[in-house]
Amino acid sequence: MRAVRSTARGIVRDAAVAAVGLSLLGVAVNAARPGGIPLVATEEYEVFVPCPEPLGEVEGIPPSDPRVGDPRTFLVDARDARAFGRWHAPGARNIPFDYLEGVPDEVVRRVASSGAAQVVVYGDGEDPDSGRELGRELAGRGVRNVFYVEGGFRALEAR
Amino acid sequence: MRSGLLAGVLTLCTTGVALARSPCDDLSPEARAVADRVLTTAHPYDVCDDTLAACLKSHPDAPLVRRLADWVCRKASRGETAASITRSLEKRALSMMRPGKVHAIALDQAPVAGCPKAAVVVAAYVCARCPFCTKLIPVLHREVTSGRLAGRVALVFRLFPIKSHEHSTEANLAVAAAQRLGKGWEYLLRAYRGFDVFSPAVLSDWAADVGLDRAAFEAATRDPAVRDAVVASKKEGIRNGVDATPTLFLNGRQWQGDLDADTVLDAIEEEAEAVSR
Repeated sequence: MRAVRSTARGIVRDAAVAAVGLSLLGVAVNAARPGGIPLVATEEYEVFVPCPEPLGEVEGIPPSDPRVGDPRTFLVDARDARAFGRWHAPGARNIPFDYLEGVPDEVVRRVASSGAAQVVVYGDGEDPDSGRELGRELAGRGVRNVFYVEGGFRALEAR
Repeated sequence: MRSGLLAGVLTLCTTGVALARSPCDDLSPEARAVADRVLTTAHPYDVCDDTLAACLKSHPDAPLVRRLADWVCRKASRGETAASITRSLEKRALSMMRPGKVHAIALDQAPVAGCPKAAVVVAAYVCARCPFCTKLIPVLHREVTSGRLAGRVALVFRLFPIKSHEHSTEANLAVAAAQRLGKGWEYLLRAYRGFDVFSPAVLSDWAADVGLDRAAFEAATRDPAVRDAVVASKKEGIRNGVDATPTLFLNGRQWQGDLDADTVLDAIEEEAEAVSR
């Protein structure tokens, strides 16, 4: 028991010596190289980067693509509830897209954890297309294999 | 009288000397080496086909060559590397070379700062809750209204609320409401000044600060037409390829260069020079 304790103490001591030694070495190298990082900031640090909309990349697919009707697809209608009520593709679920407000977290979680092979979104087919925009938002928030239907609901309706 | 005249002449001479000096004249040895590396390898995107250094000799009176050389030196003096400055120059070239794609921007819907009839129109897609915008937009506004760009440039903003910014909808609706009531720029700048103390509760106070009637302002923020205007502005931005704020357009062409104030102002001056030729 005493031997185990002594060995453990030795490991901790060696680790501490190595950590301190390597830290000092790092500081010395930094001090020696031209343009080293200053240890004390003389100017206020500023995060100065543009603010991106958190969007992912999505691929457009034609309405005739087999993935639209695939039973393993999570099919989403991005239009508002009224438009969805008037017509929607069989099996589609309604997640209305808003240009100002994000999709609620619980809805994104539901889509991400659906176990579907892919998520296919269709929207109003306008420019910009709400289906594509919802797809980009879902992809940007971690949902994988997201596609949108080119031409939106009108293209699907006319199939 | 004579001493006054002498002082005037001296002031003029000193000013003349100051104006003639280039940022390239006052570089530290390290910055000089960086600037020289860029000037002897990079090319201007117009006027002359040679490197910047060679063009300075062959076209000493070309404003673009002098402007780009000075800009390179200012970047070097700020500690940027040669590779980073060269990349910046490439992005600047992409934005400034003609003919670039001219995007449709509803300028009649946007509040104007500066000279409304100017030949250079700078459109900025902004979010009222974008921290980066708080640094750049007030500087641009100051320069076009009372600074070195005064009288030569019209600056407009279009709202592009970024969803990941907390309270982005309320803040942008408030700006749009103020815009509807004729105080768009005043309110946007007030919002940027108070950026760090923002809460939805202060929106009406800010409206009062810029001279708006609180009741009228609050009614406007609830007006569906105001919301529709913000949505239309964002949709226009998406059509124009905007995906971050601030995004600038110089006479309809998207600015893809660096967004530090020095570079942007320099590019706007370049545009003003180009359209006046």
